Amino acid sequence: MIIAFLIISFFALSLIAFARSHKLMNWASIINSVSYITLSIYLYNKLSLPVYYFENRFFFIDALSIFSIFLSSAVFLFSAIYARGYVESLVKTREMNSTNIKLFYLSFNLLSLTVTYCFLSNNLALFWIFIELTTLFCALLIAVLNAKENILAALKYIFITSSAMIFTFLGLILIFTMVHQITGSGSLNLDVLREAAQKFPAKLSVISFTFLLIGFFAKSGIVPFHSWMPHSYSKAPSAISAIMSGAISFAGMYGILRVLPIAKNTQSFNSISLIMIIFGVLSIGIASLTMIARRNVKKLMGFSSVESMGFVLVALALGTKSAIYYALLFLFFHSLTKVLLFLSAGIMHIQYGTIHANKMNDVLKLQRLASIGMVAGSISVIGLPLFPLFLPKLYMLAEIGKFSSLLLFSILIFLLMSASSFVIFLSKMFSNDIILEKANDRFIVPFTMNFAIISLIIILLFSGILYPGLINNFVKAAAGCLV
Amino acid sequence: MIDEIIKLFFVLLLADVAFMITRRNIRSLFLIYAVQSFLISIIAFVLYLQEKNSVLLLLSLLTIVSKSFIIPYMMHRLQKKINLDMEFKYFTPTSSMFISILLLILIYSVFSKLLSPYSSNSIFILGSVIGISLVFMGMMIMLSRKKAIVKTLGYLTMENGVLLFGLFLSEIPFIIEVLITLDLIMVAVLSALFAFGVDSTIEEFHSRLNPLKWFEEAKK
Repeated sequence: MIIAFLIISFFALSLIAFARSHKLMNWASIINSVSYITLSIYLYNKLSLPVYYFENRFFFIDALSIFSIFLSSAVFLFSAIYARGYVESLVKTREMNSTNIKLFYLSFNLLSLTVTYCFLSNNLALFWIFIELTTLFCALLIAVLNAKENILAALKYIFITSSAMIFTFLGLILIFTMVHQITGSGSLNLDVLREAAQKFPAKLSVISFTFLLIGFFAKSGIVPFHSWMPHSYSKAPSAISAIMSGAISFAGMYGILRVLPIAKNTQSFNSISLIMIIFGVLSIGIASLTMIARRNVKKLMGFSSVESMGFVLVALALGTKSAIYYALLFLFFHSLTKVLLFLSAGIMHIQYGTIHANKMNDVLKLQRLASIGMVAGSISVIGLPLFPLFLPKLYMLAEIGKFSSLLLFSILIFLLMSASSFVIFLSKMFSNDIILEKANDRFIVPFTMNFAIISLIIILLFSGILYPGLINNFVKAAAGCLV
Repeated sequence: MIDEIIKLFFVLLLADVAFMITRRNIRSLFLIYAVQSFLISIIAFVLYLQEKNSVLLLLSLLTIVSKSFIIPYMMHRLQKKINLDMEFKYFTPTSSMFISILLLILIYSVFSKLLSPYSSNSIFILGSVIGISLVFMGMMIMLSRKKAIVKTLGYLTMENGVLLFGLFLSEIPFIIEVLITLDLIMVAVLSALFAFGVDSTIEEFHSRLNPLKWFEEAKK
């Protein structure tokens, strides 16, 4: 079954490689994502999880892998639907060459494939390889536009994440060496590591796990490895920013999720947990302080992602069953919310040729749906009721409060600041009365772009009202893999 | 005897990194990188002679072909087209060297104790420590240099450091080791391509990235 994802992508990629029309390439990408979602649901219902593959057990499927594949494929699906109209608009505005459309869709689907195999790896070294490959395809997708700044953004992304991933590799070698001494034959398989972790020497395991986490921190945008995030999100095409925020930074967090049960079994979990809390709080604090002055919508989203990932990291560091469950729910809806925000921002970008709130006028008149998407996404990301991030955020805060009231208090202040940043940003965007030299013609948004945004708003609203709804058992099973 | 040879190569390796930290001329940096990779592949080969583990021989071959020849040659060709030569850096050579020496001492004092239970042979501890030091020195090059292509060389040095560390400390399964090496090479090649893309025109850059152009070139 593990090969099925590869076969699906092989067909999609072959179709794209030989396709001549944009329409066909787009359909291939949509079908690829739909097939992934269908297959993940089928596997969840059909298999008695976990299932290990091959003699060396390098690959496996468990509830958390299915949960992650489902989430990332949903993110890819919305972006693929949106890309149909969006890519054509980028070509029209000459921000992208038509000759690069094929490169865009090939990288898009290879990214989807590699991120899926990240979630299927039972071996940390294999996971490392796949997550490094996601860096490669993300960088290509950032650099696909006709601007030098995009190359610089892609380079910054590669340099920061790949050099951080080298430290992760150092951590892997150290862990492999410890396992080798304990079991007699080294392994980086997650199930073996969980069992061997109890015998890891305390000091060396702190150093190994710190090294290991550095790369995952960089991938998920944790301070001080976050500086690529706002930069790349603001320069990448919006459909790609949505994927990077919704699926790729999630993959980084997935690495931390997988390492968590191993770290919990070591004698030095308290030190590792403390390291995670320190980096998490730093991320929330620095991102919240930076967000206030941001007027570039995609940079604001980038810093908001840093803040959210920091928040999840603090919750995970507590290691309790409830914190992990709510962290997973939070990650799920956070991804969908960020996709909505980035897709709405993409329309604003084409309408105004900029994403600065100070340079947009008559937003509601010119782009009503994108404005609603921005407002709905902002309310959701702040964590207000009726949107599905409200309860996970509340319960995660309650868990943090049980651990330390001082920590809770400082995080609450930072969260309040980040919420204010969204309010300030939206009020600036909607109350701009600047008179532009040349009146803006209304950009007629293609149906597919609107469809993606409307679907996301409906899904988020329904999920908020019916919370936690259909995915409750799914998330419970996924969280069960980590406890 | 073999330990003495390896120690000699360690000294040469450290001297090579010292050159990389202090040189400004980009063309000579490519050569320094090629020599660095060559030294590591020789160390892998010497270890193969000692342990008779064919993984080490294959790694040595893979390193020498990809990192001593292909990557430096590719960079040299791109550099000739774009005509980059000198580069200015943030740190002076003296301060860079000073920081590197401090790093080496710090890493040695921390890791030699921690790793001692895992190998009875001091040469393995020394190799691992030099590997980690190379990673940190590569990172320092990335942080202190301005030109993207020199940052790429810093990344490649980090990668060599991790390879050296792996050679001395563990026996990760061959298939994983090869995949990791290929993965690192791909990232390095792409970042080199991007680094030159910053200094070339956007059309030229996209023509190098575009799969349609690859097919056209293949047809020619």
